[in-house]
Amino acid sequence: MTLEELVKVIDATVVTGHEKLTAKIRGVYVSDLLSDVIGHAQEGQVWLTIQTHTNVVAVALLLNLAAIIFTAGATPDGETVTKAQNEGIVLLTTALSTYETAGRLYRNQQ
Amino acid sequence: MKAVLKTYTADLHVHTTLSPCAERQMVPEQVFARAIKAGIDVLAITDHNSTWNLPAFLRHCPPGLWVIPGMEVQTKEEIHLVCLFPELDAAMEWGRKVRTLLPSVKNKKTYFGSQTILDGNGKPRGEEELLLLNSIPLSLGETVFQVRRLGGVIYPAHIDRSAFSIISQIGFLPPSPTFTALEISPRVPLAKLRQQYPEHTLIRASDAHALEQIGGKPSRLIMAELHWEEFLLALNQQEQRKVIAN
Repeated sequence: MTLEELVKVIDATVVTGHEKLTAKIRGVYVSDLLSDVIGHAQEGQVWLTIQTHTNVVAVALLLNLAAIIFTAGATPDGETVTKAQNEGIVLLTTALSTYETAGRLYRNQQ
Repeated sequence: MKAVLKTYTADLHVHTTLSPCAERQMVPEQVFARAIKAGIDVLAITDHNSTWNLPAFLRHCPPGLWVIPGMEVQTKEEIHLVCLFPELDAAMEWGRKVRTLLPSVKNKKTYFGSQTILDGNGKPRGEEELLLLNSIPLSLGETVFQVRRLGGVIYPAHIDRSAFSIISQIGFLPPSPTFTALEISPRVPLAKLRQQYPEHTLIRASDAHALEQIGGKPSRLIMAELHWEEFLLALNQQEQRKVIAN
């Protein structure tokens, strides 16, 4: 699935990284503990979280993640958005719960 | 004879060049100059998950300033806690223990910043290559147990913050482990927290990552002298010793 397709599947809003939506995702990781993401998420995955502070961008950069998806209506802090813009990280938001978001992505995986 | 109690000014949470998010001027000479200018009598050095810069800071400690060796540890639950030790050896032992426990993820300087280790003269000696902004694989309870076993004091850092605090990570103060002290951030109103935690010793500390933050809203320690045993009495509010958060 490309990020463009993913955006439709989970009714997401693109906050940053409009130019990168043709990228294919390599999977999904769900966690709100940054250290857990650092330890276990894989390059090219999208990351579902409700953590919105600026450290999430550094983690996405470290692992070269395809996008950070803020679920359950969580919206990234202003500083997080600025940092993501500067670093070229894709940020998406969705009003869907984490469960619903992950469920839709699982159902549509290929 | 009854001891005469004095008022000391303390900042018990200060980072150095070893913490990737801290500024590069956080070296002994400049940190101490700023602390003295801010009227600080007691300063704790608390880098993220490391004690490697403690020797540089304790060796350069100017007369009249009491520098407490410490660390800001991050538990498995991503809770930050301030650890303070009576002497350098115990702090370094805890530092070595934490180093063996740190995940083998390397720091990327361009993303997180440098983790500069200072030599005895306060000059850069090298880099900590493992990422210090990470969690050790010990739970809150295990971490507290280990620090106390080494003779250290440990209490939750910046409990009012929405990230990396015991409240943000657990949602409330768990019944165990118990803490006598809680740290609060410079900006949060004291009255509200006083009401929420009437039984605890509240310690306001700067969590300084930059020189100008050192000594911002310090706490007062009411003690007979600058001594570890006196400090423990103050933390436990015993024998008229106490901590006053502003």
